[in-house]
Amino acid sequence: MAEPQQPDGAYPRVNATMINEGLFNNMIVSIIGRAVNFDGVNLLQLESGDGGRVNINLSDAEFHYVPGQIIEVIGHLDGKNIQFFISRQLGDNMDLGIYNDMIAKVQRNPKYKDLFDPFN
Amino acid sequence: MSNYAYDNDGGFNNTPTTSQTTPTKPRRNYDEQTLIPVTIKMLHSSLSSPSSTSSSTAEFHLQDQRPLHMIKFVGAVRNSEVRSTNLFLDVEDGTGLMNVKVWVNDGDDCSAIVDLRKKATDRDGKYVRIIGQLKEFDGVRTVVANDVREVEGGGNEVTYHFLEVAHSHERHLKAVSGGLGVGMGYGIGNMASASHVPPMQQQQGVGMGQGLGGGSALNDAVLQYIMSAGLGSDSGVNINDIIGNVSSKGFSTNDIRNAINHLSNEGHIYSTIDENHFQYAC
Repeated sequence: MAEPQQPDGAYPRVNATMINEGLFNNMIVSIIGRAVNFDGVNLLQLESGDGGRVNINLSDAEFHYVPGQIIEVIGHLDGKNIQFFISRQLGDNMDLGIYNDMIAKVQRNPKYKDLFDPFN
Repeated sequence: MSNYAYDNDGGFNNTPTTSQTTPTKPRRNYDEQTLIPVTIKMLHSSLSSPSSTSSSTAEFHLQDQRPLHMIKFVGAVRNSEVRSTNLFLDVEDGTGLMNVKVWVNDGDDCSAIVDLRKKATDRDGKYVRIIGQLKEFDGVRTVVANDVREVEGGGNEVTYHFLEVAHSHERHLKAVSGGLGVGMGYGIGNMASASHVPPMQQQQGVGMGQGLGGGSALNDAVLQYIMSAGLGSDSGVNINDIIGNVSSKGFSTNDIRNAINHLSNEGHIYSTIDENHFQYAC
């Protein structure tokens, strides 16, 4: 399968809005959000800092669901769903609004390209 | 008479001995010993130049020209390996992957490093903050860490670090372009990124003269007023007059007082009949 060149350890940080806009499709991405829904089997939903929901497909991966917990999921973005690879815990009191501003306005700001953008 | 006939004077006067002197790296001047918050991408894309002092170590500088001494970054541990004398980590932060090497001494390490050496499950997948120096061996870049700590603040510390990276970069750009703004450069929390301004670029102050008050508009306004209002007067200018005049240009009383203290410390002005009167030192 032809995937865009992605340097090791480099993954775009996304939110629901960016996913819906079709950005970074077919790449490994990082989504940070609050766990809000889990069907007990495979489908996990996170709410990202912009208020939108993101679907994560666990594909039988082991996952301990704690509602309201803030986690980071790294996975493969396939259209509107993320295929789960790993998750990391980020504590209970992370300010998702500020994180959202940071990824939307700072990390993606072209004038800071040299600092954050590994793809160019 | 004291005629000790020793080869040297016992080491008291720092005279070089004829025995082999170990070449030491000249200590960098303190202004150059910076600690810069970076992303892993910045480390990989920094440029190296052969060190002027030693043929084996390279010195690095960022794309925005800041030379690297100590660096700080936040990332998640992807892999780790414990050896007897060191700990290896692969850390990623979304902008790249970096190898980190931590020297360990049993019994001597801070508890954070001791904890990290224990179980892989305590390490892998955790966010850590690393402080250390960038090195290059055989074309591969590594960070030799002086400090590795699990991020206690959780996700907020990740957000904070990236914001600090952008902020520090911006401060550097502003400082290099000529000291804009009120009181820049000697404020609280100056991360020394503003100290790399080459002297020539600082002399772009407002109005007359070169290098007045370090190029800050506030300092220049204060100095200009003292010079004109205090002309020919032995007792100089009253501080309240200075504040009254300069504040009309939009500066706060507090900032003006700070500027006066700074100029006085630097020797541009001096107090005369009492601590409320200042005169220009030509």
